[in-house]
Amino acid sequence: MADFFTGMRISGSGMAAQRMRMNTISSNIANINTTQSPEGGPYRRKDVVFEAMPDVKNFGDIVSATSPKSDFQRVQVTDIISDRKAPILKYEPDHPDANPEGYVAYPNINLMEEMTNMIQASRSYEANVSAMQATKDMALSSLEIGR
Amino acid sequence: MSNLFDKTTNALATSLAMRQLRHNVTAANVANAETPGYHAKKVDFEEALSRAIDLDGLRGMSTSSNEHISVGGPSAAVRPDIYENPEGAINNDGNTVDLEKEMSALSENAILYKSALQLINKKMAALKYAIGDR
Amino acid sequence: MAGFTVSSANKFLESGAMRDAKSLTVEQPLSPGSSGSVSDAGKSFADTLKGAIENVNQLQKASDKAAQDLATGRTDNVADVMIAAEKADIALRVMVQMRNKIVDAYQEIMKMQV
Repeated sequence: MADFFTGMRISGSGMAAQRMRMNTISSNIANINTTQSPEGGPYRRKDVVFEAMPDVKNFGDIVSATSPKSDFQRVQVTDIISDRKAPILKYEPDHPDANPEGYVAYPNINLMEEMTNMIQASRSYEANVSAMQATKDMALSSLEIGR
Repeated sequence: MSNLFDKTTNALATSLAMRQLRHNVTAANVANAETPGYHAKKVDFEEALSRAIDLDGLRGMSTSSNEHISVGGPSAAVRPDIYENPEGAINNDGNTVDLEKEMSALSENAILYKSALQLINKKMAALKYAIGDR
Repeated sequence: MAGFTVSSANKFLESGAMRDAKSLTVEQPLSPGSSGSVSDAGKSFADTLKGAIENVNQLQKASDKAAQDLATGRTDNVADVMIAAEKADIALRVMVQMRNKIVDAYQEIMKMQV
């Protein structure tokens, strides 16, 4: 239970979650002016949902409840949700995607907000990298006992 | 022969295990720094450890026969206390993790872990030197 | 040295002093023909040895206490703990070497044919 590999798994899960968040942020920034999307209408801002789950080696342990409830929780991305805010309407009657009144629907994405989120995600990623390095450092130095 | 490894070595070895536990909990806090509704956790073992090794010598009982149980023996019975840190400020999504505090706690824990390791090393080396020379 | 027999060697190891005409003691200036009055001439060798062992023991106890304080989190001063541990370590090694030299000297003396 209190071994270093648990710590590495948890930090790894943190890094993976932040990486997925970065993916959604990049997707939002890239599609800031996209008026067409596969699900119809303009592109909708995507966001990740984090959830803390107990850290167990295989999923079957949670289901069968044979192992005791773990004290450590790793983070998992459980869902990627689309924003439900209304798109921004701009008056451009010559645009091929204009609706009958001449308005084009643009995604409601705020670039400043996305940049802030990006900085936050990269800061969290670096924090997880530091934690993983500290774990590895401690684990390797315990090999030195008796050397 | 059981006095070959004294209670300091036991205390240091137990503190190693406890610091590993604290490291894992802190790493979990860092990983969940943005999970909504997650509360930062904390590990306390110092009090339990100092009681188990009978630090002040106040509760020691000397034994005169093999059947007596002495206090201050193997510290395997130290039970750490894992609980939610009450000092965290709650963000608007219910998360109470303070990332800087967790990172500095991580560094401090790593340094104390390594120093405990070095002290154990020194004691073992001194023992080996004393028995191996001549 | 005159009269260096097994019995006087034993006395040497016990009392740390050679009661002899031209004997040398610890902490006394070298002078030929000095009379061997050793009782007031500074600590005898046995006392020095005892003092050294006591010193080593003190250092070991201090190092143990400091290590326990570090393990239970009562002190944060890693440097002091490390220095105390190193002091105790070095003191122990010095004492072991001293013991070796004493045993060697004794055996060397015992090998002498009289």
